Amino acid sequence: MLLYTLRRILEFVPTIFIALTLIFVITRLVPGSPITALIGNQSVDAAQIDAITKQLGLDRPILEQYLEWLPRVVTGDFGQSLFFSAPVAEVILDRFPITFALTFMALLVTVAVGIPLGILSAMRRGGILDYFGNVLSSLGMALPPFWLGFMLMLVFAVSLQWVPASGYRPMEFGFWSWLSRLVLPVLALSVSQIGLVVRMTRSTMIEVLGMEYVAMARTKGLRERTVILRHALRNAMVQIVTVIGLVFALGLGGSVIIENVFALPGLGELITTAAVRRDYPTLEGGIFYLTLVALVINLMVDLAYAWFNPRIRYA
Amino acid sequence: MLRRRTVLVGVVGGLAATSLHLEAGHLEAGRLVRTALAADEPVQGGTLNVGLHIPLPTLDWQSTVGHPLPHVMGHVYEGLFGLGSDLNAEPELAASAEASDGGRTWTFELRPGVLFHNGDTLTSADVKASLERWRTVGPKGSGLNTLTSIETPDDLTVVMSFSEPMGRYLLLLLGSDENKAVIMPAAIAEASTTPGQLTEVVGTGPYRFVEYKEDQYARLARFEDYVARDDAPNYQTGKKIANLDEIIFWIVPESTTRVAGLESGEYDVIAEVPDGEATRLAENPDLDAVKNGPGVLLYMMFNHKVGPTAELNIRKAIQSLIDPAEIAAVAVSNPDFALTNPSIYAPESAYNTDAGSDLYTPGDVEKAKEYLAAANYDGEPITIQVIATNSLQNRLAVAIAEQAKRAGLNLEIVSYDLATWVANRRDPAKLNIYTSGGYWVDPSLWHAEFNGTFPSPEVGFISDRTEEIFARLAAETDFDKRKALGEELQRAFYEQVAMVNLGYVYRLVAKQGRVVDPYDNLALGNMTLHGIYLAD
Repeated sequence: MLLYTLRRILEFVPTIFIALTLIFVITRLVPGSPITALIGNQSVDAAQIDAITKQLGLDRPILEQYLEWLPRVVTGDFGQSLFFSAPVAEVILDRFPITFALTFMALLVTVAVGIPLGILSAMRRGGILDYFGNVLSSLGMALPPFWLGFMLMLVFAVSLQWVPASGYRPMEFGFWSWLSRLVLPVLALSVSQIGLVVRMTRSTMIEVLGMEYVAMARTKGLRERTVILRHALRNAMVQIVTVIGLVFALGLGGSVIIENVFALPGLGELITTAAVRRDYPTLEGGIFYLTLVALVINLMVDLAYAWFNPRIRYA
Repeated sequence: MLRRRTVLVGVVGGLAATSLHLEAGHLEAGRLVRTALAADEPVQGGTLNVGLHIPLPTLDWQSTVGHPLPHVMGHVYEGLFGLGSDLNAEPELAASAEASDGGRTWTFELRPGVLFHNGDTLTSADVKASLERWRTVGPKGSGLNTLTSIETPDDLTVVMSFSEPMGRYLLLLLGSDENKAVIMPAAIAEASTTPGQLTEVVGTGPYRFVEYKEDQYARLARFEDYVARDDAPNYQTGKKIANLDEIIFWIVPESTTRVAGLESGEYDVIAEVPDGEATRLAENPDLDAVKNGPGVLLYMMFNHKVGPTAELNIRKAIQSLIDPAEIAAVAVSNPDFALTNPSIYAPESAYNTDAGSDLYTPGDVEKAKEYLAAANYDGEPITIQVIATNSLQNRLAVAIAEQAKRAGLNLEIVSYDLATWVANRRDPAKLNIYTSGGYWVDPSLWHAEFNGTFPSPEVGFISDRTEEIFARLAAETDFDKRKALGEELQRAFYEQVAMVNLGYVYRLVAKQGRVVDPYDNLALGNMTLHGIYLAD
């Protein structure tokens, strides 16, 4: 197991190298440059533009820039943000807790609702719960998160005034002030995820419940609850965990839209703004951070397989 | 004053808004006259939560014309002069200003006993250092290019000497809140040599800067030791009354979210509201929709140096085929928020005039065809570039392209993200046409658009005739003579088709009913919260 973990971590190296290279090349390939964003609407002459270009090191050949950049970023040093006057790592660490809180809480809601609903749908195929689960999952996957976000805002914030419509308040403004502003974004993000988890749990559970060992367990007279939770679910969890890992990674991506709708200054919003401003260091650092998180989640999912199904052996 | 070129660039939801005045003001001979509403006794205290549309690009107001700096920093900083409610320059930190030697020398007396937020007393040395910095880092600082020296004979006197006569326009140049020549302690001005980077945010305004959390909020608190003028409140000048304990400007880019936040009570005031929301908000008894002026001129800018639009007959064809009445219909969803007006000076400006409007007939397709024939136009595509996320620009471009088609002009819409759009705007090989907006209340403020530097020297408009008019405008103090020069400039604008006037739109601000604005400041220009209080 330890050997497998180490091997998987070592496999990060080429993945990260490829990711970094792609990030560097793609950010440089898009038209526009940070200089035009930096000078904005000011009337700046060509000499001044040249001076800023040189100062930022953007006058050098792209390969030379890459060779200088790569060794630096593998140590986590993405340099100074062009617009935030702070190191990129600092800017990202400032934003990441918001995105993490949003996606993690959405995942908790997804798991808490999606798995039980999927199991119940599978156990009562064709019943009301199954029908409800199907409708919910179809709706969840069909509704665009930004639209759902606005609708939740209008109903729960504007009409009912149960929670604030938008914005983010750090913990220093009070715990409820912090939490209340995450309720709607978490709901908007988790609804589509719940649909995916319900579907996956239902179909996997149906497959597992039809297997001989489940019939055997029932024949032995085990209670239905034990059959479902200890025998069927444990085996089904291998596939479900895969989806949960995927859902978390998708949630990080989906947070870009949700953060924009709810005015949450998270990592997604940071990356979007950095892309518009062509703030290369922040853009590269932000995408790399998300890539790293996705890799770690993948690793955790792989390791969870063994936990849920000891028959799986890693060679 | 004021030209706000950033409007179309930065606003997510597009522009909104119409005729400026409210119940408390009226228009008289083209000039806005405003009167204070009879107000109840103002309530002291409370926090005002304001929803802004874009984050602050920097805290250094001296170095940028970018929004939303004036909304926020207008409460922190002051200048020698600022804007009064008629958008003319009025004294702020200056007690008086006098010109001598035919306008080559300007002497400013400072108000005594004014305190900075760090407790230091304002002196002429602070003014000198701040102005020296502004002329170096400020986009508008080039307006002081004939300045030869700044002397400080005593602590309360500043003498500016110029190589050429400088008219009263100097005061507007210094006081314009687009890129205001704000005064800060000399030590900060001298240490902050890099544009966009201040060592500290310290002003003399009624609110002091507390913190800015990037892309989240900017927080201001009342400056308890503020030394106010004793004349009547007058928009950004006169006696400034700080009733609020705290003002927090929240960054909320989505306009729908800002409106929802206002309706749910999170925000007390929101900026840049889509005009389509005006009726619905006005019907809500707890909310107020406030029309905000002056009118913003929507214009079409050309590449004057390279390509088809460098040819005058092509530009004349475009000027002739454009029908601003049709443009207005697509620019706003509420017709109260659009206005067609032949002037390049805001409808509320004393310089507003119809001079030169006899030079063409809007929507004259046949005339446009004649100009195209004279230019030997062969159907070559001409591009109009838009920012993909800017719905107003996109709507304008579609309407313009449709109108162009009637005259046989092949106008293609090309869509970019903001950074690329800005980059291409400067590039003679890539730019043909773009649209933007701003407002100008004084002819001299048009200079950057006419002197070849905007949007870049490689594409910008310039002519000897307009340069000569600007030189005379800078030195002229008499209003009637300046107005005549302004008319001459406008004729040149239409003769040479420096740009095309697409009409005016107004913006919309919304607030909670409990927010009392006794001086109607929210109806005018950038957000000015002096005198505002929370009724409960």
